[in-house]
Amino acid sequence: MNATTAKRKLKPADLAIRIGLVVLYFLLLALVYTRGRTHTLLLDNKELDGGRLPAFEDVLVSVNGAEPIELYAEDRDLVTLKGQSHRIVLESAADGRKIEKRITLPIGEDMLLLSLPKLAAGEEGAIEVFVPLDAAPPAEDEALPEELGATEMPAEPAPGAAPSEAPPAQ
Amino acid sequence: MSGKLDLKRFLSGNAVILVFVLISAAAIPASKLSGTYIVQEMLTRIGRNSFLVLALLLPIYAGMGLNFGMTLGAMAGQLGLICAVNWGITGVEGLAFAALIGMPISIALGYVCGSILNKAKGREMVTGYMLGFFINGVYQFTVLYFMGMVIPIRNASILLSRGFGIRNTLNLESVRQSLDLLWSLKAGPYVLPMSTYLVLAALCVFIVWFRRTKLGQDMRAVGFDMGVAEAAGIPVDRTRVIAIVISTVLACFGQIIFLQNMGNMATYNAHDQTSFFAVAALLVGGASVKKATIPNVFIGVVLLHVLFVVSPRAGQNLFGSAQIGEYFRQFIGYGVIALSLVLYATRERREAAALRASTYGAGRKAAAAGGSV
Amino acid sequence: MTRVSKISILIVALALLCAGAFAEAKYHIGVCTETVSQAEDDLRGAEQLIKEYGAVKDGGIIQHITYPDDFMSQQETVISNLVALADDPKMKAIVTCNTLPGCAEAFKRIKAKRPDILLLAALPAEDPLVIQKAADLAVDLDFVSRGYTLVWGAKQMGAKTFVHISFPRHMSYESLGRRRAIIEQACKDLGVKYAFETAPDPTSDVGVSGAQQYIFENTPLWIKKYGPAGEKVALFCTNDAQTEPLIQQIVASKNGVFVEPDTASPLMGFPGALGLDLAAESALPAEKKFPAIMKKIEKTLADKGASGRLGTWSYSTGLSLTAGMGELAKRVLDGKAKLTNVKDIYDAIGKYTPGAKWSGSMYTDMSTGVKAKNELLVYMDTYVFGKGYLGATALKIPAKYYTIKK
Repeated sequence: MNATTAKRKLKPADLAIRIGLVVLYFLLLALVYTRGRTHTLLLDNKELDGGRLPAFEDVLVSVNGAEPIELYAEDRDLVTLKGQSHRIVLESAADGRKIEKRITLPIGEDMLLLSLPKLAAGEEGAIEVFVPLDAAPPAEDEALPEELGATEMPAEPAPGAAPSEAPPAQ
Repeated sequence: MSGKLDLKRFLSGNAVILVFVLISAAAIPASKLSGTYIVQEMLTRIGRNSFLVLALLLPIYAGMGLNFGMTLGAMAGQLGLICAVNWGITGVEGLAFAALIGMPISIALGYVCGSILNKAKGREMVTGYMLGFFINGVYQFTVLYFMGMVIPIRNASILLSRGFGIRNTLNLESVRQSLDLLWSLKAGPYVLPMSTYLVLAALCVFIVWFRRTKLGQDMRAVGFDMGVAEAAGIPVDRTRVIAIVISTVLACFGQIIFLQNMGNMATYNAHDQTSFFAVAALLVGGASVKKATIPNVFIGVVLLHVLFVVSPRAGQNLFGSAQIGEYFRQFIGYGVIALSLVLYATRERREAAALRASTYGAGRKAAAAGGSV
Repeated sequence: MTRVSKISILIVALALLCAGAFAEAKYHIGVCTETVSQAEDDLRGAEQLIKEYGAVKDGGIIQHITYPDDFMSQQETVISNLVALADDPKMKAIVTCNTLPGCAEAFKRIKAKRPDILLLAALPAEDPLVIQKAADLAVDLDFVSRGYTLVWGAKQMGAKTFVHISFPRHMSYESLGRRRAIIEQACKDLGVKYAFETAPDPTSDVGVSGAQQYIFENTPLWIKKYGPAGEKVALFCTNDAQTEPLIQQIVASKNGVFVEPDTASPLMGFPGALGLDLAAESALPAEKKFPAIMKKIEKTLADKGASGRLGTWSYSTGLSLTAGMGELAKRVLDGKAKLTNVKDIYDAIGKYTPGAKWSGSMYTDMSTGVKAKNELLVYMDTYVFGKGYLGATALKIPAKYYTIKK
């Protein structure tokens, strides 16, 4: 299929098949790219604009019909999602209010933050690009551990202390 | 012909398989591993390794021997996987993406490899082996320096902290076993990766079908005698290049299937042993440099890997030291592979001698008969 | 009775004795180390465990296996050898030291099949976040705390200047580069003068011998440069091969100070630098071997007039961690310890390092600030020859050092 055949003249039909194959190749590439593109979505239940959009006291979030995640006020959790269009169902535990929304994620972004209060209020810009805290300084000095088995920073020495720290708020 | 001669021929024809079966039969009880474990391990390894071994078949049909140059395809597959992880494409789509990225690279590499092998007719195997080392250098340079420097890498977690170069081990969590688990069947204590088996079956059908096509027939003609094929108007060099290109592309897919099952990838070493183990499996399965069939592939994968699974523990239980167990595995594994090569060489020589004797013998008899008249 | 039958009775008796020694084990513990050619101390640690608890094939509880020598290109074997351990229904815990690439994947497979098996990873070469997810406990060396304790130790030993000797390749490593920054900050805070000296990289064209030669020739000059009036100068190098000539010249000097080698162990640099023959000591069991070696080094240093100026960790890290993790697994299975309890971990490792204290902290991921519940970073107290332990493990290291970047 790809061996050069300089000596032989290509028949138009052959040429068409080859062009077709190349087009098919790029179509396939685009298809698996869009379908397989995975995003990390942070579900953020924090109040915004100084209380204008209050956080849910206790909300159940279900993405694409999956097992709901329970979030209390000021909580944040993350889900990984394949593809761009997703259905999100919010169910407030306090008043039983149920909100169903469809969100579309920009294909080029790896990590996004979804503000639940904003989404519930139906406002624009509920989804924003999230820049990880340590990615802010130039990539040069940031980083993950080297291959030599080096490790990252521990926060504080706790000789003799029990390893389990305070459990998460919930 | 007498039954005695048949038995002798059977023994010499299947000596390697028999030696392997005998050693395995001795090593399995010594390893004290359970039957369930060994069977499950074989089911997994058939899915994981057979594709790579099947990639070797076409060049053998074309008379080019064992394609050690398949390492090139393996490297292309790894580049594809690096891209898939880099762009965050997960699951089966991630694998398909890796395969699509790897395909043009392996076609190009296969073309280069095939053209060079055409310049080294008769010494394809050692040339292919050396080419593997050469391209390995190019691969390391690309991955260690170009990625992050020239080729943008967006996923910081696969990059060395100095800002360029891919890390020593690539975590393939995002595509891990996505093909195996697409459709896996639970049968009693065993898990069967059906989707992987389907892919293998499709490849086998492709190979059988390909042998019947015009190109496939040409390939076998070239493999049988290049001079005759040339005279018959078959473009010999082109056919040989195509055989290598297909083999390289299949090796690329095979490596992706292998690595998705493994779940992580030694960025700079994963392809080191690829061609070696594939070739070993094929030889152990009773194939030779000249002749190989699809059953050879599966018999070989099972036999070689049974030995790889049981021999470390067997060695350990027999000799009482963990490290001797590990050396025992290498000693037995590589020793038997060497044995298989030697046996084939001897057999080939003996067959040639027999052929010569029969032709000359017949000739002389005929001459004598003619003389008497 | 004929001779033959006598011998056979003797053999039967012996066999019975052996069998009786380790009566029917309740559970088995798998230990995977590298071979002697890669990391001898780890393997000796596993052998220490076998000596104590017996090998599975003799009815004991330890099943020891090794990685293939070319583990990077044979990940398939690394994984399958580990997973094969889980085939034993009595297997209840698996210890790896070093935890090479491929172990996390093997752990995932073991967990999928046998969730009851405890997985302990010592000195992981895998990504911290990956190994934390796969293993039940990971233990690694604490390079951050050591950045502070090194300088603190130098100050305790009377040094006015801390000379950090390294080269660009090492400084491009995350851990070493960050530790250098921590050392520099600690020097500032503790009132020690900091200096950086570059030495040739042993993997470059000069080779190991050239790099050693350079250290050998320059150490006296550095000591003179930073301590012209005989003030004490502490020197520290990041390369193992360069440690030996460095120790040699510090011993020969009047005011050189050596806190500890980077890869701290009594066997690091000292035997070579002092020309010691350790054949007799090496034959001893682990808990006696290292004290005997330490004693010999201490005496030799005293004879050379270098008492109180050189220190090291008093036991080998690889051996004590391998054996210690095995011990910990056993204690957990016996219900005598909790796997991720820091005190229990130190106790178990401490069994193989009598007299030496351990300290450390849980691993914290820099990008998320999440503190891991199952990865502990450890370090050992420094022993100064002719003076005793420094007490570095009792130090409270200021929190700010943990956020210093390069």
